[in-house]
Amino acid sequence: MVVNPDYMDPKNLLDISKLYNKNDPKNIMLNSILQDKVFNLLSNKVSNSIFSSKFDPCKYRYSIASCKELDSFFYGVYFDSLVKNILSIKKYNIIYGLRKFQSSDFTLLHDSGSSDVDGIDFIMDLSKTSDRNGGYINYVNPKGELLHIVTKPNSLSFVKRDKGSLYYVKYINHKQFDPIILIFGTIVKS
Amino acid sequence: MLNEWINDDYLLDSYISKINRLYNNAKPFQHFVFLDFFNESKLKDLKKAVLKEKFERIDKDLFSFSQTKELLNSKNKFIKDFYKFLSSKEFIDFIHKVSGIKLDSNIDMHSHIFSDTDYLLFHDDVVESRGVAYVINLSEDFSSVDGGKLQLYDINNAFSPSKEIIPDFNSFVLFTVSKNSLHSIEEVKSKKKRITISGWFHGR
Repeated sequence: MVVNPDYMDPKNLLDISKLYNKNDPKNIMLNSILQDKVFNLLSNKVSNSIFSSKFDPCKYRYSIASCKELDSFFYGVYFDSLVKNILSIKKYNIIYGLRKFQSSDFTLLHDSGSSDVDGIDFIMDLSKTSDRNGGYINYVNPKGELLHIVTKPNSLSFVKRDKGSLYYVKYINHKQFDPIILIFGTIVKS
Repeated sequence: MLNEWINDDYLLDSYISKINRLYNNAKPFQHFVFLDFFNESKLKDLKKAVLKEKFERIDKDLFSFSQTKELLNSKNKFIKDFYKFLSSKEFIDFIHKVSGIKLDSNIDMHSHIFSDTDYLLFHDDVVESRGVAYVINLSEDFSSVDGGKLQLYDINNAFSPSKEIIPDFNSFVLFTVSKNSLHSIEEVKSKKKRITISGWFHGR
């Protein structure tokens, strides 16, 4: 099994779903989502991917890569089970992207560009270390900060994003030595 | 009033004309850096006064730093006197001669402290009536390795700064605010504090 068996237990999934729906905004972070061996393999694979820089001074600076192995997880039965049981969504489409953040990288609020539609974001952390010097994720709306997420390696977070809310990845400062590798995706009901 | 606050050398008409030419021809956008600009003794007193003000910590997507409220509202006599000087007709005329920008008597004035890891990302300062931006550097011991440099960019090639300005004590930086005035404050990378007074001369 790819996923930590705890997250396949129907009773646990029900409890997680209740917690997700109770939080405001609706969100949950699932720690140790993959089995350790699978996580290490995937983390190594992703780290060795060829990343290319994306930079717009008024929007973002980070690197992107593609990794085919990720498709088998996000379009597979385990992720589908999490979406159906925790988020209660039966039919959906997803889009996702792999991003690497290093010292001096950032995103600004303009970047997520999806404030005009509702959706459920997911963020998976494939970093090798938990050191975080910046790199946290803030969700905000015009009234202020909604949610502050500090991801951990091998975690998967779901966040219900209402129309008008945006997120940014905080500037990664000079004290960060290891890259922060995150997958950002969105689930949209179909 | 000008010669009470400013280094006399900068008040010669011939020198101001020369600075105006340098300002207009500066790359990547119109700016000038005055060194040893203010009366040093007064500036040190001003620094002491400013550091007694309350600084509020602010963390956003674009920046992390500590900032005072608008110093116009300060109750400190020394800061009030300095504000009065900076917004005086004589000084505004001086800024006009240097920049060529028509200005009124409205100014903004805040103080900022950038500590280790603080930064201000790319932006152009364009808001309503801002005409000329200014920065008065109050840190006394910054070198290149400490970070904290004011970085100016060519908007068509912002991968690396076209010019970097170390925040030397008693330097006074001016630049014209426009859609081309892309700049940032480099992250501070040491335990030193980057202390400034900055704001805008309004007009146009």
